[in-house]
Amino acid sequence: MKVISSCGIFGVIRKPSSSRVKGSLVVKAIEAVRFRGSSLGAGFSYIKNQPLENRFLFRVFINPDKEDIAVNKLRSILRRGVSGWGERSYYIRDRVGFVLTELVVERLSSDEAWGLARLIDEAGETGRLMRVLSASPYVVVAKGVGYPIEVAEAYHIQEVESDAWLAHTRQPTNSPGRLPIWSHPFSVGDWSVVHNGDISSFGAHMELMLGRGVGSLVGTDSELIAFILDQLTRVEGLRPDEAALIVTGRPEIEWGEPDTQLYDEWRKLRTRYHGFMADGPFSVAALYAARDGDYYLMAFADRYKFRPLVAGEDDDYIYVASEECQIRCVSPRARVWSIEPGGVLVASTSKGLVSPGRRDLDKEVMEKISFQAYNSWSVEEILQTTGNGAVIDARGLSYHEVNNLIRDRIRSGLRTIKLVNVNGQRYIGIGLTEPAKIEVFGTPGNCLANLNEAAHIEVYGSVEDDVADTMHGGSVIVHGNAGDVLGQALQGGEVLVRGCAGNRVGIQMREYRDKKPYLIIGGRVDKFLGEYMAGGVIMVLGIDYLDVDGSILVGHHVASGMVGGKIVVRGSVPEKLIGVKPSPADVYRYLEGLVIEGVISEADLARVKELNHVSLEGLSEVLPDNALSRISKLFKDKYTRKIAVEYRHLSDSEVQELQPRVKRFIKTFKLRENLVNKLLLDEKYTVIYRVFEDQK
Amino acid sequence: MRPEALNLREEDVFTSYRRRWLRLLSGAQGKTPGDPPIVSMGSQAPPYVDKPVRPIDWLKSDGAQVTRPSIDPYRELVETSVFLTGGRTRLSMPIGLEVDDWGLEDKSLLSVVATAYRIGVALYTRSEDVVNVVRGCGISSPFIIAPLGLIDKDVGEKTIVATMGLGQRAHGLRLTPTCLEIPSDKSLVESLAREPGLISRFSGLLINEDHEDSRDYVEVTISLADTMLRKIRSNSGSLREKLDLLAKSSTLRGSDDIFKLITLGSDLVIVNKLARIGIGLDEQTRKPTREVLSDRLEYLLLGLQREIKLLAGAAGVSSLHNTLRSNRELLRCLDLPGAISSELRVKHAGVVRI
Repeated sequence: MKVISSCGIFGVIRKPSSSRVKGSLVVKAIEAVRFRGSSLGAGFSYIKNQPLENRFLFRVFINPDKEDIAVNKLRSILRRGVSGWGERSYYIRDRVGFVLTELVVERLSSDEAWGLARLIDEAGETGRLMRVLSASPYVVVAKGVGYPIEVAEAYHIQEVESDAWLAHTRQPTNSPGRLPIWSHPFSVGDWSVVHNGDISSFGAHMELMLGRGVGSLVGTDSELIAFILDQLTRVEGLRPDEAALIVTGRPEIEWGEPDTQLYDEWRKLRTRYHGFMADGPFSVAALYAARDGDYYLMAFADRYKFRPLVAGEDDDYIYVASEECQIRCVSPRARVWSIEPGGVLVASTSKGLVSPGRRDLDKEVMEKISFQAYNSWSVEEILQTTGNGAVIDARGLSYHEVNNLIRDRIRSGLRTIKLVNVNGQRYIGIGLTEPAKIEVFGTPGNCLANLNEAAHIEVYGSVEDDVADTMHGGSVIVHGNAGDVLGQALQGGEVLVRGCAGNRVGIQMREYRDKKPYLIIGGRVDKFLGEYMAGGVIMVLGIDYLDVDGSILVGHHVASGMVGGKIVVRGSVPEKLIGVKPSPADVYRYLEGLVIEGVISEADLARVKELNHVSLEGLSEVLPDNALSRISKLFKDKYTRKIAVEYRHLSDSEVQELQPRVKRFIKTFKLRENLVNKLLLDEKYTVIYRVFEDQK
Repeated sequence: MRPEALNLREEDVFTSYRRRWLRLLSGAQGKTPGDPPIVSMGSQAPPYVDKPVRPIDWLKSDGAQVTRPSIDPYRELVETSVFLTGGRTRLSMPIGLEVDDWGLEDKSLLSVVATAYRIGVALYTRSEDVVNVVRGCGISSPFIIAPLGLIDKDVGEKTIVATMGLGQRAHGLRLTPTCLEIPSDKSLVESLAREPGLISRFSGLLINEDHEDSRDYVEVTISLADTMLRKIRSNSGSLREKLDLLAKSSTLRGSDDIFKLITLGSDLVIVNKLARIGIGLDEQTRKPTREVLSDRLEYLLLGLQREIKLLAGAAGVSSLHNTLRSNRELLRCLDLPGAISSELRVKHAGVVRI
């Protein structure tokens, strides 16, 4: 059965004292998400084990139907442009079959090599005739048309070992897949890039590159990311992590207060590198060979994280992937965490993990929970202690086969079923109407327990994206961490997650008739918690942050567009993280205008700036009514609803409502019993709910 | 000589629908000022469709699709702020306002100036009265575009009209980056492109369709300037990366025109009549008081900003200045003569070249 999905990416780098990574590991990891791709393209990139000193390896795709014309053109360019080169060609047997010409070109600077690659590309008729796939002393690209395993076999990837790798399986959206020129990775200079997403700033980047001498592009947004990263490092002289940070960008509201150092730094970056920031959904993994001999693996997500990206490490390697199952299939006990929105992971062969792509503390919490979840059981033990009929071994089975087996067992009268060797299968437990208990050992793929009506699903591991979507009843218990979009449109039952959850948790949650959903997160969450929420209760406990003063357990834009329900977050959530607010720069400017008109005084303005955040509630404490009424235009519109934000202890009725659920949470995850009272009675919470007109 | 085609008839440009729409935004009409109606099939509310009158009207926005989701600008972030003059000038939205011919008395003029400043738009003027009002306000942040003097150098057969100052002070430093203003004329842009040394002295190029020597629609000239400036190298990048492009036309009608001009390369779009009509200054009835004037202008500008956010959100754009500027990929043209679409470098809808 075909699952229409989106591209899959994978990257791995060895740690400083570890051996090189085998190509077979990389193929296995990218094949684990074969369903994310299609037959329309796959590829690999790796660091050459013996870099060519001052020589460049050009890999050039030659269209076999026009081989004579292409080769003549290529040689003509080389004769005019370089002093010496070696040349050999292979026939690559991917799904289309093409000629790959390798050139070793001597005595070139990086800039000259870049210029030569552009000349070949321009003569190559946007790839219809020929196209440079990579041109670097270090970075090699092997890509073609087909699934990853087919392309790997065409290039004998399993026989290669390297310090660092990228891999990609492609689901084309805006460009075709009949030639390998559209496959990933894309390489420019000493960078290579794989990408999942669709960049809305594509056209702006094309114009930018037009002004930087790039006259030929194959027409995919992914290629432009490689060009941008190359420009920022080779031409602008930035470090690779700085380059990635510019590409991910930061919204102005995250620059801090105007006139602070942070704000000014971002203002300079936005102005200087205007047009370099990528917009729209993307997750990217990249390899970079620095001229000091260090090799980098990087991974970064867009600032709202519309595409999945996780990272992991074990004793030998650091991994990045679209899905956790990719890491688990090559390193079952790896410590795994997710990259935060706009986060940049940096790892190098000489330094190891430099930056994890999120706050160190959050990474440690996620690692700890993940480790506990995967190390509390073994498949052998389960098989020994459970009757054969109650265990389904999911190894090698599709989600469809797994679900059919679950239904068969339920029909046969079983009420407790254990699934072992689960790794990446999507839709497990979808639409179950029987109150069976399903224990999952491993990493279920996206869309676990969607439309679930009655089943109780307990996962001894972490879960990926879109769990419990449109669930009406039953429960989902997760002993590890959860990915993005957890509990979307959840409208009944209970979801308990021991660890952290990702972006857009509980969006569009709702309640109806006697159905009221509860979603309890033991750790923390990223941006857009409870966006468009219409009912039910979300609770974020931050149990592993209890001893950390001032911990903030949520990202930006909490309760944005909320129209109902309740969000309860332990600790104080700063106003600036709630909803969508105008930028402080706009607010201050508006108030300066009121000073000019004499509506408020300079002292009023100074008091506002001392607030350190700009909410209407905060302004109401400082500004006179006439000024408040005027500036409220920036905050209000007819489509957003008023919400209340209170920092306080839970009320008696809230304690009564939440107590059974918190008790169940503590018992399920075997936490200290005294935490129940501490959490319910001692701790203060930020409570967010919709204010209706009659509540004024 | 200015071709007749540029002298668009006001009734063709600002149809009764347009006028009503602008007044709805400002609150001169209706009860939800500042909030553009969002409609769907079956609604009797606007929008209306105007007869095309200029090349920009044949351009359509190529919206978001399933893999590039749209953004709800009311509940998610769409940034409209722009940074000009090398980052020294920050505006809340890419809009400039010309009020010189509005016939305002001193106090009303002060209200309009203060409103433009408050809302974070630029103010274009060649009027000493307006400059004096700004000076009297003691405004410190740069937001006014006003003449500094004339330049006497000829370029080709044309004369550069004037240099303009954009901003006066920034962060305590005396900075007067200058902007070169020219009529909307493609041949003049081509001449300037042959003199990179001259044009690189400025931080911005303002293309003014209202100038009597204009020969081309501002969208065509802006697009050409955007393209040509990218061909001029400047240090590591192109001159376009350092130079702001400002478009000015008093016959631009609304956020749709502003959106498209940004997509064709403008950093800032200066409008006039649409605001005057929106706030009710062109009506024969009693003139609004300065308070009403200020309120309406504020709502109108916020309404335009929200409409631009809706358009950007529909195209999956979360940062106007970074993502929308020169992003011709987000446009498609329909039935536009090939020569003009080539000049604009906008693809025809429905044509796939692989």
